[in-house]
Formats: sequence, structure tokens, C-alpha cells
Amino acid sequence: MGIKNNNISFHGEDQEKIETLQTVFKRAGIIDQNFKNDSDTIGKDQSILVITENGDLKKYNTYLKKMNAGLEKGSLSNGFVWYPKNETKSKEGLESLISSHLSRNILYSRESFIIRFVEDVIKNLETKTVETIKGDEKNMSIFYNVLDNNVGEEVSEMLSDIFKINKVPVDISDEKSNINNLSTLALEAKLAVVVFDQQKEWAELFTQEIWKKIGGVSSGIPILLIGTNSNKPSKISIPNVTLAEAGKELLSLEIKIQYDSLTEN
Amino acid sequence: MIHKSPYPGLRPFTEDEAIFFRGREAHVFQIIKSLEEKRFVMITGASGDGKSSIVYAGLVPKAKAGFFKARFNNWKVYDFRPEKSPFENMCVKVAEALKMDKVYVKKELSYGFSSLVNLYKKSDLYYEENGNDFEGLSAEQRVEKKRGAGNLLLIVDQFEEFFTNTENLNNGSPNDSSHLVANLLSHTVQIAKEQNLPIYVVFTMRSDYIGNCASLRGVPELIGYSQYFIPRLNREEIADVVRDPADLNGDKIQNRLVDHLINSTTEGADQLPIIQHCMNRIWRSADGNDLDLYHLALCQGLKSEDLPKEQQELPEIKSIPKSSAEKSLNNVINAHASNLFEQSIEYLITKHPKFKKEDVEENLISLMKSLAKMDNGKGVRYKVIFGELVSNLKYPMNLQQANDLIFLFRKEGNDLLAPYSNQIEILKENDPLEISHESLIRNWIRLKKWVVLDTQDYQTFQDLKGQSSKWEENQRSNNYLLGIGPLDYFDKWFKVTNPSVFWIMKYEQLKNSEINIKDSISGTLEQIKLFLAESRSAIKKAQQAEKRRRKVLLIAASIAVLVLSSITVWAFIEKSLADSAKKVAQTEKKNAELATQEAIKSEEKALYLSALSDSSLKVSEENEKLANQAKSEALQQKSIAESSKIFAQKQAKIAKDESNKALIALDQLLEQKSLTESQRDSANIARMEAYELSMQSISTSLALQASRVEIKPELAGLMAFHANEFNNSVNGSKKSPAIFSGSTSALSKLKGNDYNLLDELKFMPNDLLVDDNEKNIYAIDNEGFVDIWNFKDGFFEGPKHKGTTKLNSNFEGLSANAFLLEKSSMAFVDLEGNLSYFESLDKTSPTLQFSNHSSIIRKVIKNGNKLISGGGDGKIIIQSIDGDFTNKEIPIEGIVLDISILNSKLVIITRGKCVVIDLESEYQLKEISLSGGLRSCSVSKEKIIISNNKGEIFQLNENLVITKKIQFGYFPIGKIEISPDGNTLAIASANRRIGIYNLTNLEQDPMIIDNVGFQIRTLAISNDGFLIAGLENGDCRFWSTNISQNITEICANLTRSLTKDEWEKYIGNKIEYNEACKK
Repeated sequence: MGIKNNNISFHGEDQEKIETLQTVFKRAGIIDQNFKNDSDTIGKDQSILVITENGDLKKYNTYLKKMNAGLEKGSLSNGFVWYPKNETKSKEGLESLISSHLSRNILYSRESFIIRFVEDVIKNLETKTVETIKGDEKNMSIFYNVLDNNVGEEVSEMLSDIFKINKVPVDISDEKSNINNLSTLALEAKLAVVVFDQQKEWAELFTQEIWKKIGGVSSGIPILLIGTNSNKPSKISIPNVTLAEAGKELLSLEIKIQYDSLTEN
Repeated sequence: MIHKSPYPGLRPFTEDEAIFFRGREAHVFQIIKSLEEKRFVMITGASGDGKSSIVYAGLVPKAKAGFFKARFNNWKVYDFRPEKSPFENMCVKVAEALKMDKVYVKKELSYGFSSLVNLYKKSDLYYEENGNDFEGLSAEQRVEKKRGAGNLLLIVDQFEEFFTNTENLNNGSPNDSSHLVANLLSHTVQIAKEQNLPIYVVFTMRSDYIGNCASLRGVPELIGYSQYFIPRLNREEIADVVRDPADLNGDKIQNRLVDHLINSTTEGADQLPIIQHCMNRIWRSADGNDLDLYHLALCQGLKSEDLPKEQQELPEIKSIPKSSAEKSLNNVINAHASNLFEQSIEYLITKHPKFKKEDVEENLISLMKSLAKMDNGKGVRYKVIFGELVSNLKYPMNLQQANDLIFLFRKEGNDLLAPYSNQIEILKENDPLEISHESLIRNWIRLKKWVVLDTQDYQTFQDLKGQSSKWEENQRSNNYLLGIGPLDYFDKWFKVTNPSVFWIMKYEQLKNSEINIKDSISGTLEQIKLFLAESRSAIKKAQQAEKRRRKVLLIAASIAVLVLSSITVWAFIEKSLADSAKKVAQTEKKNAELATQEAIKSEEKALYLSALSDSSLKVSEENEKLANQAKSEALQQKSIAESSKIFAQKQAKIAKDESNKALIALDQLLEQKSLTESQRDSANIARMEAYELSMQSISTSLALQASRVEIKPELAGLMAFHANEFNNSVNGSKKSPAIFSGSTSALSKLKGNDYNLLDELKFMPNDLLVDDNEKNIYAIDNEGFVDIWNFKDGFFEGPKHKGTTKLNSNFEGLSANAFLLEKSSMAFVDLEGNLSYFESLDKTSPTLQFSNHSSIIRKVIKNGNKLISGGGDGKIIIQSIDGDFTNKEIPIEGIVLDISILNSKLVIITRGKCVVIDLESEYQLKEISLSGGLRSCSVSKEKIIISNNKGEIFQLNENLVITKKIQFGYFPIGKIEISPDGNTLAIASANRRIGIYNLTNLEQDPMIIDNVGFQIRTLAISNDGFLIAGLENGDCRFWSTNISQNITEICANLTRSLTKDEWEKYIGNKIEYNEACKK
């Protein structure tokens, strides 16, 4: 599983449930057999708050506030709030109290089965270990289909005189042209440029896939989809993707103008 | 950019929406892997697990984008649903994909087995790389061949329709057409694998129909060979489905909403459609704000008391109507559909008031019921032809009315019925109609109930049909007719339900012997009607026989009773008569005695009254005489008065008639006068217009000719001069784009192409400034060179180059941009966000340097003793350049692209917004979102002008209300400049054209300079209307925006006038000859 983290603290008022939870974490290999819980400190790497119907709302309020403070300061990486669903009706005000304190790094679960809750926590910890790759080494990455080689080569050659570029011809039958490699190249540059002449449909769909893979608007990397004006202009509508067209001889110039306009830092 | 919902709701993702399809990436890549290896995959899963979306928003776009490795670089996708005619549907799509004739394709495919592969090999999509044909081609022809080639992806969506559509079954088993499709597809897969052909086949099907596949030869083997079962979403995948589309779209979503949706999502059916629909509703409720629990409550998916306290008190939450339905995620679909149901009825009645509400409601229920049925206890969709559906409504409606009835269900954003209004706005007779997703049948409580009742009705129909068949099988024996109880029940049911062929077809399957299902059902219905009528008639006959028997008995009994009764009555009558005679005799005696006493009293009273009446009679006779006299006099007076009145009335009528006649005559005279005047005016106007039009066309024609290459310089000048004269005579000073173009062209010819060039510039100008007091033009580039020209002798005399100064910006790296501020002060900026300010040209080192920004500064302006800068870091810095050198920072959302000052307000543009900030308080006053990627802005006289990347120019007022919008081509407009008097607007397009607009009336056609030749980096306009442009090749050029200046300059360069022959040739003899320029 690759995740071992003894920096977990368990909190709550139902000691029996907390002990059972710790045992399941031990069996899952997340904490050591000799793990000792420090329930007084919210601020370990991960904190888990177990909520039960008959608990004290004021105490929960204090726990949740501390959890948020820890997350804000950075002393806490993840918070988990577990309030298992049961047959009885929720205590009045409890759901409202919890939802008032949920922030992005708190996972709130109403999973009734303890094993599934622990599975969810593990999955969450695994996801957090994946790092986003982002670099600023190049000014732009220029993608084009090998069937539009003439245009792609010319544009790349002209722009390489004034910019640091990644030239990326995409060949569908080539194993290296997979989405992970290509999106990494897009992330290495300030601007991703998809150029086309005849391969308009490919260029539009390729732009969509790359946009999704790098994180859309949240990636902060603009994409320029530019084609020669021998086609009908592209009409796809994607946030943070700029569409442009120009005559073959003016493609490089238009890319430069768009680069000036679209990039910063 | 239109901000679209990243959540499609109940309908599947389209290819266009693939950008927001998340949570299933891993499955898509596994499916691609299976296809790469095996050429086939059967995708199965529970209803609502997103099978179609995985294919259309995952597999297809990924393949076309190049992430599915196959032989060719292009993909041809053909997909079809079996619906009611699978083979037909397949042929249509194959013919489209292979660009072949449909009839030919149908014939070829009817042979089964390798027919589909053969067609593909014959098509332009396929070629053999080692084949002679290909090797014999030139390199260019090979590239063309490669471009035309394509891998083939065949998709059979909703494979279960082979089993759910009764038209595809024959006695419960698949019919021949279904077997043929199965044969073709299974052999295609086999051959593609054996011959390594780039053909791939995908089926999608609900997993509960796997067992039915056993009846289609070849399909079970395919499923065993390669199947992909889509698992339910796990917690992480649900989070991706909920959060990622918002993140990708730039929307913000609160974590508590994500967690709530995850925790509330049940393991049961419809996990994904419920989330998708819910998120779509939430996104629409949020209307651009952060998506939060509060919006879920607004969609009736959460109790208000479960909201955080601060949201419980919001007025919109408090006003949510209390309903008995449980507020859960599943209820969002229910609430939405129920709401649309009510609104649809209102909508129809508003548009067509003649309908009664209850009739409309009944039609809508019947319409909804027609679109679904229960199949072995499962709710399934049923696709219908709209025209058939409409013709079977109980209360007749035409197509338009029926369209109006379901419009809201099909409307974009609701999308509960397909086709959606953005696909087909108004459904025609032969268009199909269906429910967009089966989860609607399971979650809309009312629909579920209707469908269950409909199924029960069908069972009743089956019972009745069974009884009717027995009667038929037994030679219509009366013994097999219905008894009174069952007849009563079935009769009532038949009248209320009114079963139709259309309704029965939803459930019936075609039998071997039945060639035409409609005729067969119609026959069954007739038989049932006859059966009911015969039952009714038999019962009536039996009732009548019984009635006759009872009548005879009744008569006999009545006679006996009558005889006995008569004897008893006679005895009673006789006794009663005797008693009555005795009573009458006694009463008569008493009456006689009372009458005698009354007669004596009356006689006395009569004597007294007789005496009294004699005296009264005399008095009244005298009074009567007097009264008669008075009456006769009064009658005489009345008669005189009446005859006078009649005479007076006659006189008055005559006078009134005369007066009316006189008035009518006067009106006619006035009308006649006005008509004559207006005809005269019209004629004058027409003559004037004709004259003006003719002058204008001559003027335009001359102006256009002046631009022609073959026209010699002096002639071009004369043409431009006369064109302007004629134009002035009809249009006054209104600027004509054609004359502007003609006059600039004539000037180029007369004075040479470079008459407007400012030479000796060192590098590419980044900014230009005109100092009208000193008559200087400054041009600056980011290398630090500042060039100065002086134009005190006038522009046409050629501005004189005064020299070049090199400034040192003192940056570690290169300068990124330079700005001329006022007079000779300027600013340089580098890539790191540093700024060097030069107070004047006197020193070559910066007066001041600042590092207020963390990234490149996009614009610097000067306002009094303050520098205002905006940059890529989303900050506006107002920096004092004297005194305490304090600075203020105003954060802006997005990269600042341009800044201007308008009446002590700061106008800022970012890529998508224009923001106005009060300079004194630094408060944001207004903001407006504008589309198209904004580029530049300029201000003047309470007007704000903004350009974008799509060639659009927006004019806004101080309150940021768009007052005008114009289009100048479709290329980005990088630079805009307003003249010092605020009357002229110049804009530079990336298409290397400059447009000059009249800012007081933006709708007038612009004057265009389209021979610039290079990209335009900067613009400036002098007080006297000269436009100067800094170009990408390092040149600066000028043009006068004032046509009369051009004409004066043309005159200064002319040596002659037009000859008479030239006049006649170019202008004609209708206009009197004139010399040019008073020569």
C-alpha cells in the first residue's frame, strides 16, 4: 500500500469505537502495533474525529475549530470526520455544526461500515501523495499531428529562434504519444499551442483531452488552438482555451502575438 | 466564452461535453486496452452507470485525439442503436461512415459474414501500406492517402433494445434482422483480429439483459471473449464526478457539498444520474456563485435545518414551500419533474387558453405514460414517433400545441425528454421522442405510479383479450360471453381506458403469422369490441325474457287483488254516505237560525246609510262641473305648445344638416390641399434623393477609381478632389470611407509611397506620444532608444527627425516593454515586475526605480505625481513619485491588461472583465464580464472603449453599461486610440488593418487603412487629426484622419484640371464641367 503514518491522532467521546478504529488501522498497516494515541493534540499529520449521537456539541465544535486551525497553519495535513450513519434520527444541530466547519482538506464520512471508512481514508492518503508536475522551463509547447508536419515544422522552426519551445509532433501509432507524456510536456511550458492545417478534428479533440488532463482552468496554463485559415474557424468553447487562425505564413506571428497576450510571469 | 454548465444532468455527455467527463478515466483506458488487444468489448453495467457516457465522452474523444493506438491517424466512428429496426439503422450508419450508397450497402450487408469487412476494404478509409497501389504513389499522394485513411470504430449503443423493443422479437426470440446484425458484427470482429485490420467493435448493454444474449448466435461467444463490467463509483470517483467539472470550468465548489453528496449517495441504482442531475440543478441555482449546500436545499435535496446556521436564515431558504416529500438527493429529480409538470400545464393554457386545465393534465399524463413501460418489473424507456403520440391524445391537440405541452421538459437545462430543444426546436410529425434517462422513471414518483397503473391496464386488457379469444375459438357461443358482473367491470374499464393500437403496440410482440402488427392489433380490438357488444346484447335479451315472464304473473295477481278490493270499497262507501247525510242536516238547521238574526241587523244599518248618502251626492255634483271646465282649458294650452315644439324641432334639424354639409365640404377642401402639398414635397424629396444618390454614386465611383493601380497620379488626385466635392455637396462634412481611401491612395501616388514614413527609427516602437505644444512625436522601444521628430512645418511637409537618445533602464535582464507617459517622461518594465521611471530625456539613467510587482507589468500610466501600474500578478500599484514615495496596492482578480483614467476613476481590464475603481477611496465601483478575451481599452468623454480577441469593440458608459457594440473583422484588436478631441477612434487589428471610426456615431462605416503591411504595435493621434502608427518592422507611418487635409495636400500637388474629355468619360455630361482646386 505504501502508506505508513504513525502521525495520526484519534479524537472523540466514544472510546470503544476509537479503539476499534485503531485496531482496524493497525490491521491495514497504516499504524504500528505499538501505536499510542495522543487524543489531546489535534495537529498531528492526520487527525480523525469520531462523532456519536450522544456526544457534546460544544466539544465537537472545539475539535472542529482546532482541526481547521491546524490545517490553516500547516501543522495538520488532513482531517477526517467520521459520523457513522445509524437507524436513529440525527441529533438536532449536529449535521449543521459539522457542515459549518468543513474545509477542502477535511474528509467527512457518514459511512456506517468501519472497514469501508478506513478504505476511504487510505484512498485519500494515497491520492494526496501524488504530486502535480508543473514547470516553467519552456515558453511554449507546440503540438501538431504528424499529418500536418509541414505546418508544424515550419512554425516550430520560426518560433524556436525567439522562444524556448517543446516541439511535439503527435503520431497516433507511436507508443510515446500517450496522454501522460504529452500532458507533462504541456505542463513544462507557459503556453500550450496546438497547431493544425488539415487535421482540425484531431486538434480540437486533442486540445480537450490535454486541457482535461492538465486540470482545465485550475492549471493556470493557457492553451492556444490555432489553425490555418484554409479551414472553417474552430468553434469549440472551452474556458482558458484561445482560438485563433491565420494564413500559413502568418501562423508564427499570430502565435507570438497571442503568447505576448496570454502569458505572464 | 459562454459559461456553460459542466454537468449535463440526466442526459449522457456529448462529445462536445467530453471535457467535463470525469471519474471514469481509468475505466476508459482499460476499455481502450481491451480493444487494442481484442478488437471487441461488451461494456455492461447497471442502468445509470454511465455506459453511454464512457463511450461518447471517454472512448471516442480519446481515440480521435490520438490516445488509442491504431494503424491510421484518423478515426471514423459509426454508432447506432438497434431501436425498432437494427439492420436498417446499421446500414444507414455504415453507408455514412464509408461514404457509399445506402442501397448498395444494404444489399451487400444482407449477405452477412465478411460483408462489412469487404466494404471497409473497398472504401477510401483503407489502404495496404505494402500494396502496389500505395507504393506507386508520389510522396505527396501518399500523405493525401494517409489523410483520407481511418480506423473504424463501430458502436452499438443500448444493445438491450434487441430484447426490449417488441418489434425486434418474434415469438419472444430475436427476429431475422437481429440475427443478421449479430452475424455481421461477430464475424467482423473475428476477421479484424485475424487480419490485423483497424476495425473495432463496442457494444453497451444493461447487465440485466446478459441472459437474453444467449438467443443471438455469436454474441455470447463475443461476451465471453471480451467484456468490461463498469463497477459502481467509489468514494474517490464520486468526488471526481462532483468536483472536477467545477474545477475544470473555473467554478468553485464547497467541500461540504462534495462530502454531503458522497455521504448521501446510496449504493443502489441510479448513483451517477442522480449526482449528475443534482449537480446540474445546483450549478444553475448557484448562478455563478460558489456551489454550496445552500443550493442543494434550494433544489429540495436537503432539509433547511441541516444547513449551516447562517444559511438557514436566508430568505430564499425560508421561502421554500414545505412539501411532504423527503428532502434527499433522489428528491431533486422528483421535485424538478413535478415542478415542470405543473409549469407545462400553465404554459400551455397561457398560450392556448381554449383548453381546460384538467384536459391538459390528462393529455400530459397520457403522453408521459406512452414513453415508459414496465418490463419484467423494471421501468424501461419506450421511444415513440411524435406524430403518432399526438394523434392518440384523448383531447385533440395539433403538433404545435403538443410541442408547447412538452417544451419545458425538452428545454435546454431541463433535458428530461429527448430530442432536446437545442437539437430540434419544434418536433415534427416523424421525429422520435423519448425519456432522456430511465432513472426518471424510477425517481419521479408520479411517473412511476402512472407506469405501474398503465402496466396493470395492460394486464386487464390481456384478461379481456383472453375471454374474447375463448368466445371466438368456440364459434362465438353464447356460453362464452361475459356475465353481468365481469361485463360491467370490463365495459367500464374499456370506456375509461379507451385502448388504442398505439398503446397496445407498446406491449405486444409480433407473431409469426402476423405480417402487419398494426392490422393485427386493430383486428383484436374490433373483436373485443364485438365481444363486449355481444355480451351486452345477450344479457339484454335474457333480461327482456325475464321481464316478460314477470309481467304475466303480475297481471294475474293484479286482477285478483282488484276484485277483492272493489267489494270492500263498496261496503265502506255505503256506510260513509249515510253518516255524511246526517251531519249535513244538523249543520243546515244551525245556519238557518244564524241567518235570520243577521237579516234583522242589516235592515237597520241600511236605513241610516241611505240618509247620509243623499246629502253627499249634491256636493260632489258641483265639484265635478268645475273640474271639467279646468281640464278642457288645459288641453287647449297643451295642444298649442306641442305644435310650436314640432315646428321648432324641424327648423333646428334643417339648420344642423346645412351646417354638417358645410363642414364636410371644408374638410374635403383641406384634405385636397394637404394632399397636393405632400405630393409636391414628395416629388421634391425624390428629386433631391435621386440627385444625391447620383452624386454619391459618382463620388464613390471616382474615389474607387482613384485607388486603381492603372490610374496615373495626377488623374487619381483629380478624381479624389472631385469625389470629395460631390460628396460634400450631398453629405456635407460626413466622412466617406471610399473618399478617404481614394484620397490616401491618390496622395501615395502623387507624393510617393513613403510620403508618410517617419524614418531613421532605430528599433521597433513600443509606444508613441504626440506633444502638440512642442509639435514633437516621441517613439520609444524597449531597448531604451527614444526617437523624436518635429512636425511644426506640418505633417505633409515631413516631420523632421531631431535625434535619438539611448536610455539605460538599469535592469539585470532585458526590458520587456516601454511606455511614454506625458511629455518626455517614460517608464520601462522588465520580465520580473521591475519598473524604471525617467522624468525626462535629460538623464540617461532612471530617475526612480520600483519593484512593486512580482511579474511583468502590462501597463503604466501617470496621474499627477503618481505612477499607476498593473501587471500579470493581478495587482494595481499606485506609486507616489515624490514626497514619501508611498504606494498603495489594489488586488484585481486576473491579469491586468490595460488601464485608463476617466474622471478620477480607474478603468481596468483583465482577460474577461472591465472593472472601475474610485481613485480616491480605492473601492471597486462596478465591474462587467465581457467575452472574447479582452485586449485593450481607452477612454474619453465618459465613454470607455474596449477591444477583444474576436474583433469586437464595446462602448460602455461610466456605469459599465454597454451602449454600443461593433465588429471590425474577426481578428484580435490589439490597440485602440482616441483622438484628443474625443471624436475619432482608431483601432488596429491583428489583420494589419486600421479602422478609423467617428466616435460620436460608431455605427457609421469606418474609414480603413489596409495597406499597412505589418503588424501595428502602437497608435497615437495629434490634435489636428494625424494618426501615427508604430509598426512591427520598425517603421512609423502617419495618415490624416481628416479628408479635407488630404484634399488640400492633393491640390498642392496638382498642376492641371480634368480635360473636358476626361470629365465626360469619368463624370458624364449631366453635371456641369468645373475646374479642380480653382485652377
